[in-house]
Amino acid sequence: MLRRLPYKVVPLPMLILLLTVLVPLPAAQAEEESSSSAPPTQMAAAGEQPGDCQALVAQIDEQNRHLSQELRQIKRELAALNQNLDKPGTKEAMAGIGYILGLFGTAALVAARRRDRTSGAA
Amino acid sequence: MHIADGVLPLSVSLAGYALTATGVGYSLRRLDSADLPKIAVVTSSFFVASLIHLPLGPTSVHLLLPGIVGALLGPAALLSIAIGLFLQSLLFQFGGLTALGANSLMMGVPALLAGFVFQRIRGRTRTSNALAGAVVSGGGVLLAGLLLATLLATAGEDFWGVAKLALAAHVPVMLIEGCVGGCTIAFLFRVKPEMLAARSFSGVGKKR
Repeated sequence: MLRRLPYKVVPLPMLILLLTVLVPLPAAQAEEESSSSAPPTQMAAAGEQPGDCQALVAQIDEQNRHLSQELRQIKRELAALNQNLDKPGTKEAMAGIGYILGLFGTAALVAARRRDRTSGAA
Repeated sequence: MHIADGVLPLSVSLAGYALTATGVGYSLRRLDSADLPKIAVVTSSFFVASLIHLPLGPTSVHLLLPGIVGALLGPAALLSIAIGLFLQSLLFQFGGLTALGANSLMMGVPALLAGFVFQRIRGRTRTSNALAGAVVSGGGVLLAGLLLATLLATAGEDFWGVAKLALAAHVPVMLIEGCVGGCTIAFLFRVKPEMLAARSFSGVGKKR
């Protein structure tokens, strides 16, 4: 009996003490997002920890969703950009017109020379 | 409306090249050096026309212009179209080099026919010229679509399915092209009627 009495009484103040010391800690921890000092809180505030963890998980999930959404958007932009790179633009059109005019100009030159030569010979 | 690389069987590609080469040779023999500037300008227009995409419903279409090329150039149309398509496949990656012969044939035959028919039906007034231009332009697109389906049929595609698809996709192009062709011919008839003058197909008339 004598032995069991202190055993029963002492943990109560200890628990209160521990709680007063450690209860502000999880709030600060949540901001720091570090779960390294979980063991002390696990001992002291065993009832609070699952909810806290769930909040953290929810937060990470939220972040993940946000990031994947942004990533998807960037991928879409990248695909559109690639498509646009494949699409010919003004530069190609100008190049083609230049080729055509040059080709026919050369043909005209050759034809004119040939005509000159034949008329000169005749 | 281009056939891509590797769609057609080798024999069809080769036959396309052979027929196109023959046609280009014919065009070159009928060539009058005084026509060269005109051919250059028409070729440039044909080359660039495929870049101008008109948004239409879910897709976009672009002008093909075989009718106008044929009406303006007559027998030289095939030369013009072969050069235009060659540069398109080089610079725009439209179609492919192996399918170039078939593509030229697909656009060139309607152009030659359009030129022939246009000289027959154009009459003497501006209205009749414009109407002939519109008919020939629309018919050119129709014929090109039919040829596309025929060529694809040789590759083993279901002929009528592809033909219906191609024609359905080109009904709006036909209408637009008919308008564009009619307006162009009407404009040219008023401003520079000698551009529409007949080019001999037989080679008897104009050869110097």
